[in-house]
Amino acid sequence: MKRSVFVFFVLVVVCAVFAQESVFEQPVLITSAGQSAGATMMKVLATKAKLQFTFDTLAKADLLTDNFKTIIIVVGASSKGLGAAGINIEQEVQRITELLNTAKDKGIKVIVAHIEGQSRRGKTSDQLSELAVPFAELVIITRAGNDDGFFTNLCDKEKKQLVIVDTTSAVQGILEKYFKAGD
Amino acid sequence: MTLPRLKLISLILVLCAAMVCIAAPLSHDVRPGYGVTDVKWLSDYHQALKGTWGDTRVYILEGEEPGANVLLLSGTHTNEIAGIFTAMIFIEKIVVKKGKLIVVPWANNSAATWGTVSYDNPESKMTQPNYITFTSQSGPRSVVVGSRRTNPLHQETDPATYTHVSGVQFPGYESRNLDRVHPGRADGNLTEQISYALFELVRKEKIDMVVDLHEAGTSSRLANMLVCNPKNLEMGAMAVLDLEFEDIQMKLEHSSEEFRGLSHREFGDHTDALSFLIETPNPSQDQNVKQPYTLDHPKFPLWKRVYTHLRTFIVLCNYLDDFVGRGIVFENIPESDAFESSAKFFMIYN
Ligand SMILES: [Zn+2]
Repeated sequence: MKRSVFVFFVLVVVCAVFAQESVFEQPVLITSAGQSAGATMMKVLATKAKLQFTFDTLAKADLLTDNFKTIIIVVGASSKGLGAAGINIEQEVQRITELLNTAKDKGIKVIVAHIEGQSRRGKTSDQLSELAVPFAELVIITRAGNDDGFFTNLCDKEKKQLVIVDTTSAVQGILEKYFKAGD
Repeated sequence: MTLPRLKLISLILVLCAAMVCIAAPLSHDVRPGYGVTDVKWLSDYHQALKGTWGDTRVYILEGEEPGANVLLLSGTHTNEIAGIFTAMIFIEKIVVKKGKLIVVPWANNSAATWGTVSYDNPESKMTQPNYITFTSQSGPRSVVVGSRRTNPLHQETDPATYTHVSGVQFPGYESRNLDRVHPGRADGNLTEQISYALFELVRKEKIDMVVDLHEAGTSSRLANMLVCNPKNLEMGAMAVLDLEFEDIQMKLEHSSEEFRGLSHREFGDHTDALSFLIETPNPSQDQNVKQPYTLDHPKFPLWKRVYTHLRTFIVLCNYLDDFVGRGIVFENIPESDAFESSAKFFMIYN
């Protein structure tokens, strides 16, 4: 009896610590790092998860007023997307760097997501992931984008919490879970 | 007979043959089912196409109740057979209850008139087109496997460089690629006129969504991809997420700004219609292939590619109500168990 009470107590403590680490508040800014279609997928997922968010694939640091409590950065480099936005990769790296630094200064939490699988892995996408993950409190990826363990290794190295889901649709549930605690 | 005279007679013979051939575009073994309410010609939308190899059949499936108007294109590249077999399911089996579906199974009918044994430089080794023969419920039938581009004999000699209406330049042979010449020119070359006619169709029929079915090599970045005009990217994202629940994994991408002439770009930009392009993996478009088409394959059988097209198209249609305020409703969509083997799959057809 005593023993089970103790186990229960430990569980509660663990959960409390876990929850404390994983509270994300709204409103949310959803942006892209690399201008692939992944950000639009996140927009749809956030809508389904009923998050209060602003979607701006080209959000600049000056947009980060006190309005936002969390930024979701969706990594995925697309030359088509960059071309359509009229920017090159250097400009994109600069925008993301400024955005992340401002978020850090203002205490806005960062979630980094990679949800387009193997097709959005590659030198440029990986470079953007390496740029963003050190700022993240939570990293969400789909299993298909981690065949080589890139994100596992990166999150190990940076000591970041990593959530791996099997399908992009499952990201909706992750958003519901982590943002519910913050409501 | 002297050699010059022989040459002259041959030339006259060839010209006569060509003139006789101009009398009619290529016809296909398509067996419309109860859903087809009208059959038209593409030239009904652009008179100049009549009597050319660019004319092609347009199948109308109109529901009792008005709703969304949808254009389904396949055979833009006539070697990309999964799209054609998908379009034929709609013509032969599906009934529209609400809205209107217009199907053009061989969008570039001239491209269906020739085959090739070289994927990389097809015009260097032109052959007769190939035929897929299969057994349906009614017995044996066949479907042509053509080529990627307009028959060079049906159009003026390729220019050194093809200049698209936007000013963007392509290698000359792309002047015969229907998916590079959109939105076409009313007085342009044959391929541009086919494109122009399709755009006229979209305008006159007040089309809400255009979906163009394609295939790519199995290791191509494009394989299993839904390409969206930027204005309908979000609808594409919703479809891709829904398809995951059906175990269909599609990548999502938007049209490039610089790369002009493609259907998903130009229909979306030049008309009110939403515009999508679906790509499935076709082993016969891999490099160094020997077969002009692939039916059975451990990973990429035709039935699986057709199923991907069918479901992606239907899931897109399901979102029309949300995005344009008008829906389209189908009946008699084949169940997933019809897509398990070639023999079962071909029984879908009439
Ligand atoms: Zn194609």
